[in-house]
Amino acid sequence: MTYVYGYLGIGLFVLVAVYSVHRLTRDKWKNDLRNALEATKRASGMSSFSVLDDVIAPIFACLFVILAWPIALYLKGKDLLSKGNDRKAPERPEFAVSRQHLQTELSVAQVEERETVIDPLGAAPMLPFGHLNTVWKDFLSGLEEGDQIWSFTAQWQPTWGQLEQRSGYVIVRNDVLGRYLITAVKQVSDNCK
Amino acid sequence: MTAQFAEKLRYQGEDVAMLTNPLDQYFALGGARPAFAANCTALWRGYVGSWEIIEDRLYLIGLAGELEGGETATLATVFPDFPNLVFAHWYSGTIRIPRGKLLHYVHMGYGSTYEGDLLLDVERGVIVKSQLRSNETPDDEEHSE
Repeated sequence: MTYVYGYLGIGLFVLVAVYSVHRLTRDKWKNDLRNALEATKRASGMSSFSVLDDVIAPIFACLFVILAWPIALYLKGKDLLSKGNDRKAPERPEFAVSRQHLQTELSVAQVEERETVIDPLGAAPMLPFGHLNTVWKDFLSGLEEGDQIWSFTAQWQPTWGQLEQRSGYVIVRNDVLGRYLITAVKQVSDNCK
Repeated sequence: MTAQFAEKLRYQGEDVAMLTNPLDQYFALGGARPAFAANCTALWRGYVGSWEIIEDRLYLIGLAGELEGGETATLATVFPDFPNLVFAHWYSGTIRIPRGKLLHYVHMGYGSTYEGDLLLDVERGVIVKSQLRSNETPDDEEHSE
């Protein structure tokens, strides 16, 4: 009988330990999700209290940990290890202009001439890049003496969605490609092609 | 993600739904995006734009939305100097206008399938090509084999 009490005592200790670790290490996004679900329940007029979720499930979970604490310890350890691996989020590639994307070297005046928007109804500023003129001005503010401006066209596969064709201008400084300005993005697999 | 409200388009004298968001491209290219409130799961972008094609050019003629502060968002909120008519010169892509009956409802974005789609190919705000696409549901495709 002493062994049984000892086993259950350890189970009780494991329950407290596992619960404490769980409280300390649970993910923030899971809390956010839980809050969102609660908010959804409230919005739809449902009670946030559930006998199954708030009473029966915790009782069974506690009983399980006390009675089968070696399994509970194994599962919690496995969970903590897998979380450690999950935290290393895969790096997403970022768009960058490379040399093979370059089209033509242009002066500021040439770019401004080809990009000035002329609308017969006067529904756009008659300026380079029209409604996006401030973006162009911001791009120019990074220009230094001796810099070149090249037009570019590149294909890019975003993490989500279809293959895109991105066009714009890039600053080349001392033969190194620097800041770029994207002026058009078009999905390559558009049906009208 | 819930199915999203369409944009509105006046095309050849007809008011139709437009399953494309050209204003998103404006924001993506660096245009200032007001803090739209996303109060509705069917309108995550926070606004509905009204568009018109005049002489083969795409214009934004109205905008309805709400800002995070509770104020009403209009066309003037995004384009203060052009509160009535904005030429969408920034947009290149394909505008999708659904035609006919709904064949297959998808509870996500603009994923539903209609009998057909009118596709307008746009280059820098100018319509350069249009075509009518007839759609088949997966079931139809199986029967036709």
